[in-house]
Amino acid sequence: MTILQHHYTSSEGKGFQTSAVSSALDKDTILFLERAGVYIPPLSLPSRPTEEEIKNFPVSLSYYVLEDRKSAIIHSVYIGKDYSGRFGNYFSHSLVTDDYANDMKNLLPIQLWGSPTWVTKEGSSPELPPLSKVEAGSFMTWDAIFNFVATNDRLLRLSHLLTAAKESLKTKKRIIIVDSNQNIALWIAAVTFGLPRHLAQQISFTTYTKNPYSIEALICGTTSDSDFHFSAQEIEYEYFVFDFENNRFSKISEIDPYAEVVCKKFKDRNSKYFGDFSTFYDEIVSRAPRCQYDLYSLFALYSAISGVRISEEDWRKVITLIISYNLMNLFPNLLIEALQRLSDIPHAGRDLTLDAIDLYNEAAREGVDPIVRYKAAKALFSIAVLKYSPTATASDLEVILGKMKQFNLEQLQEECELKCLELLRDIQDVQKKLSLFNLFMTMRLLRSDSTRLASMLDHEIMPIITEPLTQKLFRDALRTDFRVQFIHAFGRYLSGKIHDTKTLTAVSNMISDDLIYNDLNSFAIQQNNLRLYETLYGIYVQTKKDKIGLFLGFYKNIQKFSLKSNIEELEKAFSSTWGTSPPTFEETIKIVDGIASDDLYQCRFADLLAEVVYKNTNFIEPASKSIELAGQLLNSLKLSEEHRIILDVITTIPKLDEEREEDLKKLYTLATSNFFSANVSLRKDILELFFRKLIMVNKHKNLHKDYVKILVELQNDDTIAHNAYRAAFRYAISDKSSSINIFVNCFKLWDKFYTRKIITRGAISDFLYTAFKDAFYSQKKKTREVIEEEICSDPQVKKRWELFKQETERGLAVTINRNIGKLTDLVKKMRQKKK
Amino acid sequence: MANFICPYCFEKCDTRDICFRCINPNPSDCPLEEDEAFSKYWGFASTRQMPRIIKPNVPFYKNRLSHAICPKCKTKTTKMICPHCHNPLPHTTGLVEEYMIALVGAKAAGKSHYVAVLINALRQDIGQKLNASLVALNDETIKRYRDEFYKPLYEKKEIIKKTISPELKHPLMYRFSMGRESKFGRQKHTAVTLVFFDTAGENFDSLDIMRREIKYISNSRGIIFILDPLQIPAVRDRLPDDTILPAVHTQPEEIVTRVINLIREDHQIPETELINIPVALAFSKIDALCSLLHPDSMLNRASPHGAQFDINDYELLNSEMQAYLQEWTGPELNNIMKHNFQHFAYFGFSALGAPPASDGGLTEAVSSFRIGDPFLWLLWKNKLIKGRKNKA
Repeated sequence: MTILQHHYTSSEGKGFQTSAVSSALDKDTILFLERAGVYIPPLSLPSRPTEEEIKNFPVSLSYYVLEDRKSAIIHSVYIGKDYSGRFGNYFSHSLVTDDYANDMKNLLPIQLWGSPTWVTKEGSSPELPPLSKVEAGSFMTWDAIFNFVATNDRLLRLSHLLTAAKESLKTKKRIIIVDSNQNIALWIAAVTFGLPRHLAQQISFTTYTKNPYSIEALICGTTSDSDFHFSAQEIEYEYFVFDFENNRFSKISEIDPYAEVVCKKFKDRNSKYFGDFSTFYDEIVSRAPRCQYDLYSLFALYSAISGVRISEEDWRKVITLIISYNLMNLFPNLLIEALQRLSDIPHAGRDLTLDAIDLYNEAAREGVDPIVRYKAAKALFSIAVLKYSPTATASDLEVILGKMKQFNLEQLQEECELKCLELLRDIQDVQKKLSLFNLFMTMRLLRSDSTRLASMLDHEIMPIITEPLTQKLFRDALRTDFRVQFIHAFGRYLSGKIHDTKTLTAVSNMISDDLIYNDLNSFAIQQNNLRLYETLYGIYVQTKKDKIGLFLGFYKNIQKFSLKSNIEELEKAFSSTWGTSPPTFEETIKIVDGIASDDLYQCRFADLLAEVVYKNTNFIEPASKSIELAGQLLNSLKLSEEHRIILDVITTIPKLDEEREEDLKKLYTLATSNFFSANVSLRKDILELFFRKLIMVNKHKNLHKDYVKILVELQNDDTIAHNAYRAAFRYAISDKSSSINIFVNCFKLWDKFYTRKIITRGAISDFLYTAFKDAFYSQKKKTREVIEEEICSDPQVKKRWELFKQETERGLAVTINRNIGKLTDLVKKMRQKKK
Repeated sequence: MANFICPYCFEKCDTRDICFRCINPNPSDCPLEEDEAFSKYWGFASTRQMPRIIKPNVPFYKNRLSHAICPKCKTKTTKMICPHCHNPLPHTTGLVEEYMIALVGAKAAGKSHYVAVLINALRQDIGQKLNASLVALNDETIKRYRDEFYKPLYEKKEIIKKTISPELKHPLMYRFSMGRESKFGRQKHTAVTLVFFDTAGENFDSLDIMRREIKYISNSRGIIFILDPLQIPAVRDRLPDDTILPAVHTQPEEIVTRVINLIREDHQIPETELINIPVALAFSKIDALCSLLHPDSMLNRASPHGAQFDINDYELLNSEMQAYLQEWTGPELNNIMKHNFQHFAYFGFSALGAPPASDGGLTEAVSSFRIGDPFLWLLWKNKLIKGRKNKA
């Protein structure tokens, strides 16, 4: 115990001075006590009072917090005359401690009002021993304070005074109270009893001073006739004035919520609360001193953990308190309890939910006790999901969920999954349902392999899969562990919708998504659901370019189904893939290569493939691939007769022996058959092939002669045949080594039909004056001369050749002469005109 | 450049350094700031929140500004404060000369009564004779003079309460304006700021306390040293038995010695030089000594000083008081004065005119005599009033 003492008064012969002091008290503190203990009586009281009158002079009990953790309580009383007989003397007794809490135990400074500890007369010794204890006065009790504030409108004033006191602690704006001396002490008692001890001990006060300007106490009791000016400016701005004698009060615009709490407790005469709350408060503030002024929030926290149901608004304050002052780390056990209470609240609005998010954010930081974090997660789940989401608007919920997406609440999975699913089931609003579901997945509140989830997907999500929002959710889920669950659910859903064209159309965009399709395919195969597999293929293939790849993939996958025959499915798939437009030649090659012969030969689409093959085959010089395809397809059981013949031709051409007349004749017969009558191109090609062999192979001179005769006599109007011959002729003379012979031979074979007038110039059968003439004159002169020489070596032919040449050459000269004649006539006419 | 001495902290300041305090009453418009210098001056344990301090830029061609604009709230303020201690300065600072008058004396010597009656006299008959007016320069002066000095004496008819030593007091500050007629018959006004310091006698009990509490002495333009003749043993012995005698206090020589030491210390004046602050040594409570005075004592005559200071009267009174001093106390005090001050003179006065009753009440109305003599001598020494000497 180190309560040091100090006496100050006007002593015999020495005047005002420190008359006695504890030796341990330092000079600076003594100087402070001398100044702070000054007592000047109110002007209105008798200036030369009697002993009786002096008893009514105000007592100045002051309390100050000094530097170095020192506290001083000063008791100054007026004692009238000094030794010289002059009035103005006073006696000031001060107590100083540097450890208030220990030395004063639970006493508040104001409790020393009327304390027997105070002396008002000089002792005999100038040395004052430190006190071992101080004794509270008997007056300042809870009952006295309760009785005091219960009368008139004092509770309201107390709320103002408490508000002002709290403000004063922060801003040092001082409070001036004018009332009777005892009432001032009671006001100070009410304020300091109403605040937690820690704060109460920071409130310096004096129950009386004549000059409030000269002291620094936060609460100054004074009298109406004091030095205080009570100017409007002071009342309005500079001080909190509570002049109960003249009804002058500073305006308190907003009563501090904790002040209201205190007043209520005062009204209820609940002194126990103040002790309990003070203990709680002191514990918190000892480790989180910055929160000392957040009284109401601390009260709310105290109430909550005491089992009192507090409002949402109060919870918001509590959350702000927890976050602002790092209470999670400082008081984990307290937080566990508080968070449990928070989880139990019946309703939650948007603001509280946002705060709960902030709270969890804080709990998720490194270093926070895992149990606190778990409780914070649980509180967040309870508030945001269970309490807020059912009543929130979709847009509000979207905002909340956006903020929560970053959290991983996997730790709550086991206990919360069922609640999540039940909630989803109960929420009707699609947007909300989906937002929540998305959140549950993101926050890992649902197990990806949960059977409940599968059921929920089947019953809650898939029925609305046609909604764009659901589809978005679906796609989002594909990027998570929930991919398989979603795909399977979608697969199950589609299995039941195979014939529902409308639904299939609505989800076709999803099926067309490679990621979804592949997984769905796997699901269908896994489930041996051929119908689903086919349906998926049918939709998917429509949107893709690599049809052959898909078709062959289909063929490959179809093997996985336990089917007796693939043919029907294959044909359906072919139909789905190409519809009415046949595959390209390249695709056909791949189809024929990719599909097993046994299957291909049984498929009807082989006939279509045959058509593709021959339509893409050059019969005169068929490519080896065409020949190979034709050969393969010829084995098909489903080929039409027509296609079978054509394919047969393709496969036969390479085998033709041009030396053998029989083969050539066979070719001609085929080309001129009725079968080809409708197929002009094919017929022409085959005929040209035939005529090439005929013209080019020397051995077939006679045969050539026969078929020229057939052409001229039997087929004189068969343009296709004549064109085929001319094309074959042009092809044949392109070989320089035999071109002269061919020119000579052809002239000889054809010329006689002109001599006999069987062919006339300009007829369909006119060969010499069309193809032959053009080819001849397109040869070099030297070649032409050799040809002429060869032809003219036979004198009989020579005349006809000269005639041919004359006809063809003269024709040219005549044209020139005609043109010259026309020019001459023109010149003549012009000359005549001039004349 | 003009200098002045702050009447609170007594720092010598340049008028260009004068600061201003914002007068915007609303802290939400112009937030308060912690004022350490002010709080330190008044001895507050914690720093007080005060309106903002403005340090204006003074144009090079001006000695001081009469107002400033708060940079925060744009309020115009004329409230000047000391750049060091931030206490309010009179608005005359830097415009007229300041004369600080220090009152020195032991406990119960009569310092407060002297100030109380002198100020009243300056406002009444002395003022009239000097054609002068005395106007308080601030509210503190008005209130303090009214409550602590005037009311007890003139209204309640009782002696003034003890001056409480630890209480920091605002000095009493007045503008003392005197009208004089020039050689050409024109009215000419001279104004000075008078600052009176009254302090508790306890403050003169040790040099340490004086250094801390009454630093103004070194900076004063004149000292009125109140001597209580009832403290002099030779006087006490000769007075009638029914005279109420005060308790014996500090001897005047001790206080004078401390004052001398303080001034020499502050101004670093060597022992070989005399201090040039005029000191008026004034015996108070002369009314109690009637039985000891010669019938033709100057103290029995009314003060003759009018618009001009009567040098003849002063010289005669000074000689007489010096003789009494020699008779009652011996040469010690006079020797001390002679060896330390260039100008000093002895006076006698009675503030109340009659001793008070034992209960502190006045037996008669205040009827002071020769209360103005020491003060007028200081004015004359400071050349604020002219002296008049009759060639007899």
